Amino acid sequence: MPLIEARGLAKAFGSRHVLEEVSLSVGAGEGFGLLGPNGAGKTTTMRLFLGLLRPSAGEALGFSAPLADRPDLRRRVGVLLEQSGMADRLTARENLGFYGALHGVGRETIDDRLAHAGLLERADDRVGTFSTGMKRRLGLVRATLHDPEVLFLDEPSSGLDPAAQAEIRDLITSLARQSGAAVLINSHHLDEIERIGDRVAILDKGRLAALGAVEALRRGTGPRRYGIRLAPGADFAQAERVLRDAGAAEIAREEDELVLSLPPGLAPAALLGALVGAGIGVEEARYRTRSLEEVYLQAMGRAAA
Amino acid sequence: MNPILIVARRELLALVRARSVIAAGVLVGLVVGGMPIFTALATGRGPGGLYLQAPVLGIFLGYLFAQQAFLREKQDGTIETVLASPLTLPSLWAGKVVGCASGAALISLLCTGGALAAAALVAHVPVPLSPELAVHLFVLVPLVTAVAVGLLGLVQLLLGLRENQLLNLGLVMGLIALLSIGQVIVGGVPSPEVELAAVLAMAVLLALLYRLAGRVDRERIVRTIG
Repeated sequence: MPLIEARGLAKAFGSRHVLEEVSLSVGAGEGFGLLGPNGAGKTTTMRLFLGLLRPSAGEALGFSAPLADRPDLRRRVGVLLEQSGMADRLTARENLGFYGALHGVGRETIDDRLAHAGLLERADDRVGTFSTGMKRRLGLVRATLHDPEVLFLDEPSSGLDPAAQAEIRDLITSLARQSGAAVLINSHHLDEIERIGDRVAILDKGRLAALGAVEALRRGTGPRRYGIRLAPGADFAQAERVLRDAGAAEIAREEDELVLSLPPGLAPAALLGALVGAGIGVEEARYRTRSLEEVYLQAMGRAAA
Repeated sequence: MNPILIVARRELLALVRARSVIAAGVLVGLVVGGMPIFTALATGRGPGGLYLQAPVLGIFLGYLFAQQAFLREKQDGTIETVLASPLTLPSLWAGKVVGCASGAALISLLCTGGALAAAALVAHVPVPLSPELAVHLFVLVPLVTAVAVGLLGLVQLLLGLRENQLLNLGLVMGLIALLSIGQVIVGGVPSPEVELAAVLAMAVLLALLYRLAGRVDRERIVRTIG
């Protein structure tokens, strides 16, 4: 049974449709990434799940009910939105104390989590004096303080330098994934999604452009791609002729590797046998998967078409 | 702990840290609130002004503090995270009202008490703390302040920044004008019956505002952020 689920979800602000017919679900312990350009509807989707916006059509459910009407169910989610959700005038410990009190979490746990995030030494400093990266780390501690079953993360590393982004990703992995929480993450960063998400939805102009397991999307639905690295000094033109004669298609050279498509029924062993039979040495051969970036760009291209 | 008290504690803590706001509040309290009371007593115009100045001061301080509790949180987007927490809207509203109103009423009472003490010591015009005056200062002033904060808070939750800037001060002036008109009608020191009626009216208004807070649309709040 999914922990969060969207069924035919749509949202319009007046005549402007920002989300149309989106259906997706996230199960227990699953990492789910929402990808898409600015204005694709990612944050709107998250706000609909959290009950901060009302759907124009369809349903956005958490634990099988709309979260807007159920404070008891909102106890079971953690949220890190664009803002860290902290009062600048209060110290880190006071801010966490407030959310901890709402969830019945004591000071000992708060200090443990602050230490985990490397913020214990700044626990009594006002949040207003923190850097953006520190605020984001603190926000993540706040969001996971009560060990939620579902964690909503909206662009958790946006606006951070690469080192701070890496810190945030490590913290998400250690805080959220270790506790077994399902994670719904919005991000522009494909590597972030790839690292945290088991499944991904690509949104474009409010519509689902792709949805599925990351690995399945990377494999794609067309002919499988295969890469063969030739031995040093090998004749690439001859190798290409041999491979084409053996039935390979869409052969292209990428640095020291020949990349080709395997038509159905053609085994890689037949190609390798043909090469070796022609006296061409092979150093390495492997199935190639597309990067998530390629999947994303292809989905965007399809949506545009 | 009760969620309303959790929110109230946080708001009080944040107010204590807002030193410039507190300083402005105390200054307004001393100059706008305390001085007229002291002057009225010292010049022999009687304690009637006391019954107007203390709640007016509470309303004005409540306005200053509501800006910090409701509007500031909405401007910086923190309210979204709070709305996604287990807090209900009425609890959130009530906690902020309790936090802001108790701070504002306390400063108002301290300034009023200071003016009374100064009048007694310097001008030798003691004002005995009658039961009516005690009810006025310790019950009605906090209630009037809470109603003002609650009304401003609701408006601030519902409207965008520009509309709030235009409307808030107008609302405060309107409330103060209503109090002044009431004072003119009552004429100086109100009778115990009038005090009691005012206390009941404020309690009913506060309960009504609490119910209204439960009907505020969360989407409306989110869409008027920033």
